[in-house]
Amino acid sequence: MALVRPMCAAAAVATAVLIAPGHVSSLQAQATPNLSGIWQRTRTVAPNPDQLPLNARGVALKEAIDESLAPMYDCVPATIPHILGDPYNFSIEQRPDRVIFRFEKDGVTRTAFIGGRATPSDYAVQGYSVAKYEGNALVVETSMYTFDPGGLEDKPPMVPSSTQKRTTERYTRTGDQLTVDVVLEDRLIMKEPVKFMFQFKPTKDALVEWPECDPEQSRAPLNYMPVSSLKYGIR
Amino acid sequence: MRRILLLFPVAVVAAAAFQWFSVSIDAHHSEAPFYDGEKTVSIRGVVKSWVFRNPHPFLYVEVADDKGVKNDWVLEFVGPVRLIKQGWSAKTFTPGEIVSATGHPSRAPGTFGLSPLSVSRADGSVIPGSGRSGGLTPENSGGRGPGGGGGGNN
Repeated sequence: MALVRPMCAAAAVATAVLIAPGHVSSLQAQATPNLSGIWQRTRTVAPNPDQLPLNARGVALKEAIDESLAPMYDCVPATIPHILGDPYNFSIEQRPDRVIFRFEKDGVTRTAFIGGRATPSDYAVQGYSVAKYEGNALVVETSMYTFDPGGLEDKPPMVPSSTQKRTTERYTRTGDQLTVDVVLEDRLIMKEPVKFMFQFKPTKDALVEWPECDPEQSRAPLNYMPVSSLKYGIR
Repeated sequence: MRRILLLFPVAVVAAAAFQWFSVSIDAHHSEAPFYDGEKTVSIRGVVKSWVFRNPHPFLYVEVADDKGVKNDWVLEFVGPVRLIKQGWSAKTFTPGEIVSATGHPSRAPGTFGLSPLSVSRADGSVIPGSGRSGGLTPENSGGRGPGGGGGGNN
């Protein structure tokens, strides 16, 4: 009995140390997955573009959008999820208050603020991203995307996305494999969310700098479309 | 155990269906709206200029047809980032040099665009990365890869 009281006291002290704010944050810091590095895509699983669960508005918008209206022909970069599906590398940089994604594709840099910012930015091509850590996963939720004629599907026949587009990326790492699960929603255009999955492996190759996009050169291929294939006669 | 065995065929069918509806999504712009993938042409001519810019580098080649009429063909390649990884640069082609190319011609009548399958130097050596794959293989593309179906030409 003489030993029990000191042991209880020691246990109480240990418990207090464990639940102290500093120690909790220390445990959280230890649990933060190490995702930093340069990644090369190894696998993509995406819904068949013809199988997207479009509602009536989505079907009508898909019919209305012409290839020549794609923002890519004006050097507008790709967005999530499609930017992850192109054969280019990207990097992840984890900072205490933010996660920075740099893509070789289109020279895009995305910043996801941990916990968000007090004043969200305006609608933007890459939207507004908030990051958080959940267990061994980094979760990035993005909203406030601008309207994009190819936002849900960027190959012909394109499917546009609205300002209601939302994406949730979940980054997990198992050994040398990074898996990114993406849920894509757009309640204005789709009846239900769709899922994508991308896998990557580390690469020692440095990111190649994306040379500046030339708008004139970007639109040049549109001249190769026969007039008969232009829905509205607009290149 | 018996229940597991009964569920096994269901799982196999579900997995097969998942694969069926799963495709890769390589894309910048697709080749199909601009180039006729069912036609293949070969040209040989003199390089007039080489514009190594995003989103797609262009090689301008003066080609004389069998009647001696000269036309300026424009060869459109995959994105420069992928070509840089193959060793390409703004100096890959020099004005005045002779090149040969095989590829899919542009669709609009009266245009002379070409989506190359391969480009060769005057000595016949094929330039690595000059085709639609841009040097990618199924192993390093992580998906269907450019040139397959509607995707490609990143």
